[in-house]
Amino acid sequence: MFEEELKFMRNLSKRQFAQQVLNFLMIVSSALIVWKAMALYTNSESPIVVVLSGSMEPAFYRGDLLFLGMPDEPVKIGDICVFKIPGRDVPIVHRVIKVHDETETGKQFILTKGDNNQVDDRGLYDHGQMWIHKEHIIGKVKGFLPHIGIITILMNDYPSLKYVLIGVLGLYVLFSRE
Amino acid sequence: MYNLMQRANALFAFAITVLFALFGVISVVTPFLSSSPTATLNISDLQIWVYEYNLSESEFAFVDMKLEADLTSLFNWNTKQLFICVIVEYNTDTHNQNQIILWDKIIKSKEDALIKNYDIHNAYNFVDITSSFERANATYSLHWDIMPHVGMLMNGRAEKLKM
Repeated sequence: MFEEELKFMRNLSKRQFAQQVLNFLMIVSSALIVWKAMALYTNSESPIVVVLSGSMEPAFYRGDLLFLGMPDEPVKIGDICVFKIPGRDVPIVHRVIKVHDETETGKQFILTKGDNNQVDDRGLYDHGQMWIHKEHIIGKVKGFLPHIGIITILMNDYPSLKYVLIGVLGLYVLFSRE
Repeated sequence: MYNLMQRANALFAFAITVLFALFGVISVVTPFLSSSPTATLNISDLQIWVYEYNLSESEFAFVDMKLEADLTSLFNWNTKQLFICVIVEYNTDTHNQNQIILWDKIIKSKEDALIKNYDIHNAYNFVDITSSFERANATYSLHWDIMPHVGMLMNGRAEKLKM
């Protein structure tokens, strides 16, 4: 099965081999460019997130893909926001259920809750923290694509799968003929 | 000559392209589907009690409302569910905008979207960030969020009711 591929590799000149490697790097860098361009366009540090928990069911299930935007206007009640508590890695996707705008400073005091949770998120915030603020928010959910992100979750749960997948894709690109 | 892998690859790539093109078309078309939702909200009772909250005395409001709504037209072939909620908005001297969700409900079928003479009590604490509402005037309204099977999230609100 691999004889053909090995023969192909042996017959490649140095120049052709370099060409294949460049092709591979091209694909990786264009993916990175698209991602960063999206981040710039949406003004959100991660414009696409995968839902990791069931706390917003039945709207969002584990593995659904969310497209985020970062509106200039202040946070509104009922918005589904993605926020990050400092010192914790995993961002949370929950709905805003209370907003108080302070007149003097314009600072927003925000409380969130998952649609599927019985209680609000004060238990998820840092100990004693009552509110979150605009700076904790990564983006507001604008668009929805079901199930596609399940691959990411599988790769997180089984890290070996990630290397197998990257390896196979890398080999495929290196060995593919124009 | 094409081997089996190449054929499978081409077929898979084509299927993915078609699928995403379809998702794109659905996302673009859905916002243009017409709908005519109606809703009226009436306040039947409003009481304010003072309780201890966060080590100080704080005003808690309790609202009873009646909801009459026909949101059936929001259900089209790309509607997964509606999230409806009653929102109260008011201003105080220290905070120029206060918004609180008092009650919410998830509607998953068109039949449930016809709401007749429905009694609502606030499900969440109706309490100010300071300890007092300062006798502020409040506005109550019904909001809905439309969750699609695929595409953009949309929302709307019924007319405001002043108190």
